[in-house]
Amino acid sequence: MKHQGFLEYQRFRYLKAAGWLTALGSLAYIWHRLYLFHAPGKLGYGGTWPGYFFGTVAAALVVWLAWLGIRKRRYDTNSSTQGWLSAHVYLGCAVVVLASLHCGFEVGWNTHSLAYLLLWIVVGSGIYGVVMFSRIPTRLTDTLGDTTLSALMLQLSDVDAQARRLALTLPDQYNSLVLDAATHTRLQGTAIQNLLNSTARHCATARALAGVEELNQHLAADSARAGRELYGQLVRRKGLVDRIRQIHRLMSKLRLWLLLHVPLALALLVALVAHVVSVFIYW
Amino acid sequence: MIRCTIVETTSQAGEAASRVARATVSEVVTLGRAAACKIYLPDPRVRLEHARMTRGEDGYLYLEGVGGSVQVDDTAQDRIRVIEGQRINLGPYEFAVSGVTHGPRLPQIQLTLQFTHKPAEAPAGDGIGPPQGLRRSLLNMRSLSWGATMLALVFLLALPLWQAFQAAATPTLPPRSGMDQAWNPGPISAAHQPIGNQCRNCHTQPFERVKDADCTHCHQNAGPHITAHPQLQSATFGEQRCASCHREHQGEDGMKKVDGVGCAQCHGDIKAFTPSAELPDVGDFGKQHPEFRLSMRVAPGANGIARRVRTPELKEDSGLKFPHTLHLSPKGIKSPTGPVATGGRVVLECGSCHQLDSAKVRFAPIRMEKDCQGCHRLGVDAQYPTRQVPHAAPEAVVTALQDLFASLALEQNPSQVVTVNTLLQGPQIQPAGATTTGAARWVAQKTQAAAKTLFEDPKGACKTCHTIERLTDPDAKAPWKVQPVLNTTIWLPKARFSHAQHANAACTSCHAAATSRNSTDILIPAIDVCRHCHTGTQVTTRDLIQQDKVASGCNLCHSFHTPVVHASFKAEKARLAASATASSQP
Repeated sequence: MKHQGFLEYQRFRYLKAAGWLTALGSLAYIWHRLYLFHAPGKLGYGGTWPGYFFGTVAAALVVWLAWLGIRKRRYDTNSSTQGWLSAHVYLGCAVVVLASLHCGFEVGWNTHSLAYLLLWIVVGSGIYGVVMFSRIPTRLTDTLGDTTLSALMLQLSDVDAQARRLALTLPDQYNSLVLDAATHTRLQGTAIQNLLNSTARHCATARALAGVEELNQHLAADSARAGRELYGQLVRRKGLVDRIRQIHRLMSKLRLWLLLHVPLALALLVALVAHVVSVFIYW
Repeated sequence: MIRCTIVETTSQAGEAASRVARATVSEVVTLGRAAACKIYLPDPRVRLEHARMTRGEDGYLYLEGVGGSVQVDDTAQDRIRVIEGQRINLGPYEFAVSGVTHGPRLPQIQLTLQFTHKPAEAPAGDGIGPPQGLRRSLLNMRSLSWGATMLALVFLLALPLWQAFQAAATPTLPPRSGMDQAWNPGPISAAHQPIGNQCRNCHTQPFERVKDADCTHCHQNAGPHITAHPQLQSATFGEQRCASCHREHQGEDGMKKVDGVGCAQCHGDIKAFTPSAELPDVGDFGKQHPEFRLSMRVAPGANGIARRVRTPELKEDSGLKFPHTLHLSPKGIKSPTGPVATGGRVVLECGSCHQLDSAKVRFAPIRMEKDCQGCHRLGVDAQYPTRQVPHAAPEAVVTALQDLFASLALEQNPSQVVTVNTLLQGPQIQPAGATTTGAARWVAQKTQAAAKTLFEDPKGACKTCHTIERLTDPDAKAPWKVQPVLNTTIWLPKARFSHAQHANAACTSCHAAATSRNSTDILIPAIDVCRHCHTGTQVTTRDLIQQDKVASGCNLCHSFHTPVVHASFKAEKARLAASATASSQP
């Protein structure tokens, strides 16, 4: 059976639903603006009856979209989480259209437009997230091959053990370089550091590699073999470190947009409440 | 074929505790953590297929790495011939090679692998922990979510809400610049800006719509729509609020832009709404507005106005003769004050007679004394051009003629002066016809002759403009009746039209005065003339291109509210009305 992603869930059922929703909404809006809405200034706003309609639908959709955060943590339901995610993505795209129709394309410096802006950022980050989810896993597979991150970590400790054993027969500088590489190599930082690859700066493994290469040139002939082998181990270590860092970078990319998406979605819910309350408190 | 025997040594306290031997025979011996491998090594550090042993072309056994190198005797090897005593490392597994028999002549290769499993060492304290995601960052999901939610809660909701309720609770305190300004959905109209800096000036109660009372507190002169039927008014507009049409927060001139969509809802099919209505159905100005109905004066008095649909056949009977063509002749028209060079002809323009009123909206009514008498003089005798009779009723004209000729008679016969005493007895004086003196007879004869010329000569001063009939009463002092002039001053009282705003157009582009030969012609333009420049608001695809036309809603010309006279002007208006009725009834 062919794998079916959440985007093509049930033959794009929710893409079709969102398409119909936006198409019908836009048609109703255009019809209303052309034939019913006669304000000479042509300034639209959310207080007309289509305005209230679009606003109510969009607000209900936002609350429902945010409900995914709770729904995905529940395992006692019969509905498919994949279907929920598919609907979340497509109806999330539709909600910006509905919100634009609700505001009549009028914005200003106020709470109401802030909520609209937040909606755009949340949906925009969500779309970015969908793009990431469709691209990063392939690259992760390319990077990991048939191993896993924990396997890479075990290989790294193996390399370290062997390197330490080899360094025992060599001068003290080798030992300190190997120890430094084993203890001070940063494999991952914060999400942003991972993304900017700033963990690779001042890399202890690269330093050890360069140091061993330098020291090997003045090494006594009887320990030259051990020096070469140690160098080989450090080359392996460097390759492993680079792969682990690349995996962390990809993992960060996969999750960093959520740092924008989720907190701003919660702020959006509050801004929506403020929007509705303020509209009706000063009706 | 390769026959490989694996001997597993489980060491316990440094002594070989047990030996388990297994053999595998195959063309290729694969080593890896995949279950399909001949030598299965379940450890994450081992690749899926880590290495393989094959018979080389030279007949010897070779070990080669798959997807990487293999550690043989602590060195990384890609391909190496297997020899006695080698140590092969695959992750935690170590194989010692022994008993190798291979070579080009042997049909089967044999070897024994001494197998030792080193349990996985715990990673020494090298600071590399398990993958922990983003835990090390302060910017984690939970703190960011709480931060964003709290920020929004405090600044978007709590502070403005507190401010709003405090303002509602203490309306007497001086207004503060409020956090609730962030809630302002749009700029306040220019007229409301002086009061618009405080929400509570209009939004007096939280969660209640702006009340009409808050508007009419200032706007006291906006009357109802249907004044004649208060019940219909309340049945139709009872639910409507001021803000149903007048929407604030729509920009600086937003309040003026009243949505005219409501008009056609009733007036589009007014009979369906009120069966007794006599109004025509009205829709969009572009196509569904009926022809203008002119409020014409057809009789004197308060009830003398009739509304008639403007048709090309409709004529006005004002009682005046006035050919516009003659007066607007490009060659000019003879005038007593005209320059000699042109033979006394002056060229008149519309503005020579029609002058805008002080409001620059309508034209002031034409007045004989001001607009006509410059040319049309009411002289009695060519000898005395300055002596004119007043523009008044026949009795007044005859009296003026009598006065005129009497004064002429007196100039010639001073002895005939009546005594002061008799003059004071005014009303008791004998009528002129009864006097028998020669002078009096002369005056009477001259008066009658002059009056007859004035009132009866078809080219005389009066009949040039007026229609006059002779009364049969022989005793009447002035037996003529001038047909009353029915002058319509406001043709379209239900519409608003500013001539000053249309000053860019020539008069003749709307009013066909230059070709009007008769005063019965109606020069108020038909609606199609307006539609040359004005179109409705119902935009169709074709109209979208007609950018040069003015999109005109109902409220461009019509006012929804009946004007209510401001209280301070009511007394003044009542006083004016009282004096007008007093003067019309002598």
